[in-house]
Amino acid sequence: MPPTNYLVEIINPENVNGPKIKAIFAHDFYLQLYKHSPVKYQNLETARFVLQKPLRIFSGVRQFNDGGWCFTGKPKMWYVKEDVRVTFPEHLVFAVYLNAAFNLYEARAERCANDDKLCPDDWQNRYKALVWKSTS
Amino acid sequence: MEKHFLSNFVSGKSQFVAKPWYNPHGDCIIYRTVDEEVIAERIDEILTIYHSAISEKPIGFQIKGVGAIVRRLGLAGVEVECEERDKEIMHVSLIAILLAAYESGPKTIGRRMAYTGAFEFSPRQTSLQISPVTF
Repeated sequence: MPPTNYLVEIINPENVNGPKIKAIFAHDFYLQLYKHSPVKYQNLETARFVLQKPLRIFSGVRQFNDGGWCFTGKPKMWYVKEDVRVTFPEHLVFAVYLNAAFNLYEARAERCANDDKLCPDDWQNRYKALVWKSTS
Repeated sequence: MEKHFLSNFVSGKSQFVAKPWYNPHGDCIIYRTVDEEVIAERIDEILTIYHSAISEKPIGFQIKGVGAIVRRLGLAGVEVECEERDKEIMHVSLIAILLAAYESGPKTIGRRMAYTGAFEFSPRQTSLQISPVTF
């Protein structure tokens, strides 16, 4: 099987009312997780869910790298150890980070902000802007 | 158990390895000591501490903006060896990167404690292979 990037259709954070675009799960990235980080590989399912059903989208996630995006969501379940799937805790939000080219590079839980349980803690100081909110 | 959506694209053995690695897509170094999901605690623009989602104990860290650190220090400041200069691959010291990251921010007690934890986690004499062309 040749190296294959996996593509996920997402809201375009640069044009939230426009056509959807593709986020990239790069082959070298998911293969690294598959080989050496089984629980992170399993939670790529969770990352895909959050990208497809985000509740908040933020722009400008890094000081030293241009662009980048953070999609957050509340999955019902997630893996905490290999093959151990449990309910996702209420006090956490699942954050999925994409670089400026929409490549996935990080997916993890973070504590919720006090003012908005669907945002990561200290989101006002960490990100450039909140660019989209779920209305449902 | 449901089939993983990427299972048709991967093969070979899957086994956790507690070894830091450079993620070129995020320009970051990632290190976890156990294969447990994490709750991230952002310390500053560079360091994030990973806590176990099971025990909440610290189990690793992420160092962001590796390219910026290397650019600021120059290769001589972090490079361990460069075996394949033509292929633009070099090996950098994890400890040198961590030290540079600490020195780049305010010397607060919170940062000092977090970086101390990261230093204590770090395997000694570890070099990481990175590609400067990604910066």
